[in-house]
Amino acid sequence: MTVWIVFALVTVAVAGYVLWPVITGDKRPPAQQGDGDAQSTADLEKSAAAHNAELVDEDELQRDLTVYRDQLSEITRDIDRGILSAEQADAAKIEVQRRILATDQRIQARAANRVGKTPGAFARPVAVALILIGLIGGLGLYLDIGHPALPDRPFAQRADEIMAARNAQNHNQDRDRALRNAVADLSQKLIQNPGNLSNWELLGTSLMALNRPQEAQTAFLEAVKLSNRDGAYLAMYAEAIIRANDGQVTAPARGALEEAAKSGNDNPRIGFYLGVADLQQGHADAAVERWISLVNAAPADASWVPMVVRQIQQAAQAEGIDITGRLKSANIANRPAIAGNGGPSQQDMKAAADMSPEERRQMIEGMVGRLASKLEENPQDPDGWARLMRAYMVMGMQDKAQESYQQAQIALKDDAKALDQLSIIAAQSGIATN
Amino acid sequence: MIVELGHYALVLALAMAFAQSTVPFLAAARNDSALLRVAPRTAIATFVLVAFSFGALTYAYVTSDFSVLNVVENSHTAKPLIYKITGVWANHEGSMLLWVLILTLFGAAVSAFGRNLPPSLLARVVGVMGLIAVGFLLFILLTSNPFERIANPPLNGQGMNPLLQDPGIAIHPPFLYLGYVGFSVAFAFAIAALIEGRVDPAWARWVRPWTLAAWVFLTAGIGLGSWWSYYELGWGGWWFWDPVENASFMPWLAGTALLHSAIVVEKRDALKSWTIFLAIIAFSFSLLGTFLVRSGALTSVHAFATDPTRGIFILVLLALSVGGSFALYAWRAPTLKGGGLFQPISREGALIFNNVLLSIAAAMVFLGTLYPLFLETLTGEKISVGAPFFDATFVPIMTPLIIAMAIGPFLPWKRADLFVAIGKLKLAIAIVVVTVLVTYWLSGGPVFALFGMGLAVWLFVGSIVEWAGRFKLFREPLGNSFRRMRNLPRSAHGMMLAHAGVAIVIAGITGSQAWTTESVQSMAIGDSVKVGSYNFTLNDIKEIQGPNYMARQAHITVQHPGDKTTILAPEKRIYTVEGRPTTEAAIKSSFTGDVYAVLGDPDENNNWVTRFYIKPMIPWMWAGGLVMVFGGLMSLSDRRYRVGAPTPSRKAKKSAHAAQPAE
Repeated sequence: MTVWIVFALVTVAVAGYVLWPVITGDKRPPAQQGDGDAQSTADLEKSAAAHNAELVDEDELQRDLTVYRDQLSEITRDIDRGILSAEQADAAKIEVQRRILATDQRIQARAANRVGKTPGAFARPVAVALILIGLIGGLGLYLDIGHPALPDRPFAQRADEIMAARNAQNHNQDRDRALRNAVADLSQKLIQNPGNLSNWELLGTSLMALNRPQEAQTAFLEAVKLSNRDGAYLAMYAEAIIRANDGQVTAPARGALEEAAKSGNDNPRIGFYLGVADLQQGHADAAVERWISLVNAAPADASWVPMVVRQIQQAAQAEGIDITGRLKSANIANRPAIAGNGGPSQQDMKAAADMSPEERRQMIEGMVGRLASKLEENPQDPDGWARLMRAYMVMGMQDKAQESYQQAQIALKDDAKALDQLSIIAAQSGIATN
Repeated sequence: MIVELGHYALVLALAMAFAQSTVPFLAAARNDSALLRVAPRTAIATFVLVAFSFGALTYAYVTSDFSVLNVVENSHTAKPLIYKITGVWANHEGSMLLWVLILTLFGAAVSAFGRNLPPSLLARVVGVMGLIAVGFLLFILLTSNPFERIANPPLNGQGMNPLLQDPGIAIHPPFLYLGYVGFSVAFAFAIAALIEGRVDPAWARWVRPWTLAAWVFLTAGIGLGSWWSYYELGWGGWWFWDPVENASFMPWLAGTALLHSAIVVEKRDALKSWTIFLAIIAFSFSLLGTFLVRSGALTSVHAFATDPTRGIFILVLLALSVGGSFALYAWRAPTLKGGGLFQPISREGALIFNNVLLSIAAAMVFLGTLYPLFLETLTGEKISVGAPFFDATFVPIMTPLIIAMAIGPFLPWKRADLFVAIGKLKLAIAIVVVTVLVTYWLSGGPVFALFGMGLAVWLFVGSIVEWAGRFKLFREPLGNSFRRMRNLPRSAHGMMLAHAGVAIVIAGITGSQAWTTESVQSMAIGDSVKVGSYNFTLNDIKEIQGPNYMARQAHITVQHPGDKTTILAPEKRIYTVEGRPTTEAAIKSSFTGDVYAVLGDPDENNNWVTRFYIKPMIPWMWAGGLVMVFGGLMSLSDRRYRVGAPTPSRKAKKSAHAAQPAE
């Protein structure tokens, strides 16, 4: 609000400054003066305008004469200084005098030319209108390109934010370091025992987490071979290829996906990326169809469903595909509201919007708390521990995550495979794994 | 809020520029006295708003406000304060804002100082400048807005091209723009005169100081730019006929021509139409230069903008302003009445000769700069027109110009005798012969060097002789002469200095081109190498830490018989944020020339590649430029009304003689 008040003040000040001569009015005509019938007003106006023109002529003549007078006195001064000879000075004076004559003639000719023409009195209102148009146009432009609500953010005032960001950066570095350690560790193990399928998988996922899809591709290919071309591994292999190609579903990736689909595996990557391939080849209908059946067949709590729903909505919107009623509502209820066709119902949106951040936090904490107590009763649940660790990390409770990781290590100390998996997950989600 | 207020001020400036480009024309056409007083106010308001906006952007840079995209892209918290400030214009958006700031500054200055101009002329001049301002403000706001914001500011900026983190280049753009944009005043006066249909001496008296000021700034800007490329790029070169350099050289040539023809209008009431034409040309070259640099049409070190929409926008602006003004010229110029007559051999004639040659030179640069562009557009063939073309075309054009430069000032107005003028230059001719012989005896040097030194001396001595002749040095007692010298108008000193400055520049160019010795070698610590009569020893190499860079600094002892030993410390820097290296040459300047040392990278044997140059006379080039600038300022301070006294014709003289039979 203050911003707009300041803007308004500045605008008024500028307009006032510029229009001041018009506001205060001018002593000289051509403004209307006095009353009288139409005839005499017009006469007055006419004579006032003529008077004005005469004044302007006189003014111009005087200005030009001043210049020439100055030139003449300059010549005299040059003679005194000894720069010009008397002969030169005379010639120069004659020339200046000729110019004076020419000026006088020019102005008289103009006065003669003007007889019978009357200037209008519209100039001032037009000028004011032009200035107003400029100001309104400017305001419109600013509303389009400006950001009146954005405050200044000088570096010195962002100390807290910058500190937090540095910490996050360090945190990421820790996570990457842990992941790199895991990769080194797994590689070492695989050199000794290249037949360990789950280690190849872990290596692949770790490399993906480190954003090294090219290398992950090799690891997943090993897993594919060892697993006798299992659909899930084929899907991971394809995903790595796609990531390595900046999201393009290349022919090898597509081949792997189709092979996986034939094997009857239900890994959601298969349907999803085949849909992406369809979309990239311009078959948006097929892509949407594929994704809808994928979502409709998914378990209600699958974490990837919102992402796919978003894809469906985007593709549908971009290509103008009607998806009303095609998505099973169970799968999209209670999901974050997303604009577009087939999104959550008005009611869902309202419910989500009504929930305060505090309520939402409490709800999540409740869910996490239930999971934690379930694990206390039945600690032999590697997936449960993994979920709990991730949940704590997402909520920003690093200590809790760390603590549950230690608990899991104790609970699962006999299950080497589960421990390996957990250490990778811990690394991936950024829990220190010393 | 300061940043957004700056943004709003810029939009408001556009609104005011719109008012400035309409209301004054209305006022002048209607001769409405109140509106005629509104006109200068619009120009002043536009300037104040743009200045505030520029200040707000500078504030964002100084406080490292990374919610401004432009600051993110061109600054960094580790940058020293001075480069935070100069960073404002060391990028496309900011430099355009500087351009408009200077444009509106000139508009406001004309408004403030123009109270004694005829109000309708002042209004039209202000209006034309308003039109230009509207075009460029729209360009900034729509395609190159420096106030783009980011809702989630990043932690730090991306830094600034390290080559530009240098005091020389930091002040180079403002000078250059003051020059470029300064020609907009002459342009506006020309257009206003075309609309009014008259050009009188008072008009020229107004155009001359603005043109001169622009010329002084442009000369200083070009000088600074070449000096920078000399010491910063590490090649020892100072002019590359790079399109961007040419872009500043073309308006300079046209502006120099304009300056001289404006003298003729002022003093002799002649050459009006031609002067108007030159004023249009000079500013058109400025716009063209802006287009070339800003559109990225030609890629070079300077061209940091490569967005085609920007290029097209400026091209349209260029077409509108240049096309529009030439159309207006074609329509209205015939109504301009010619004034004083003159004969071909006269001061006027000499100035026309100067104008023609300078115009041809500008046309050559234009051709050499744009021909590759046209060819590439039309046939896709890439060629590069470089130094050989320009050397081959420039020398034949400049030689007669420089010869005439010494003679011209001796010629009286209206009609003259060439042989009388040349007769006054006997001393110069003698000194030229001696110089060429001495140069040959000393260096045996290449023919072009003898030629160049001869030209330089011819012009230098010619300028001094003409100047000294004005106060009758050695022809009257010294006291008298001194008094006469003090009485000389300052423009006389100014002309002498500017012309002598050109002579010094020519000497510097010739000397450094002809007699540079260079040597590239790889040296171990403790090695010595002899270049010319100089002995270079590499003492040691140290790592040093600057505010935002790390550097290797060499210490090199330079010994020269009969000279004190000096230590040069060239550096090789790595700017940590930008991750880019720069070369900092170490230069020892003296009257006779420069000793120039560059440190390169270590080779595989851990020896250091070093380059040494001995460049005789090269500082003269910049010294000469300074003398030219000083001459310009001297002339600028001369506020007299100037009248050129004509020489009466022989017939008139004869009749005068007849009256005095005694002679």
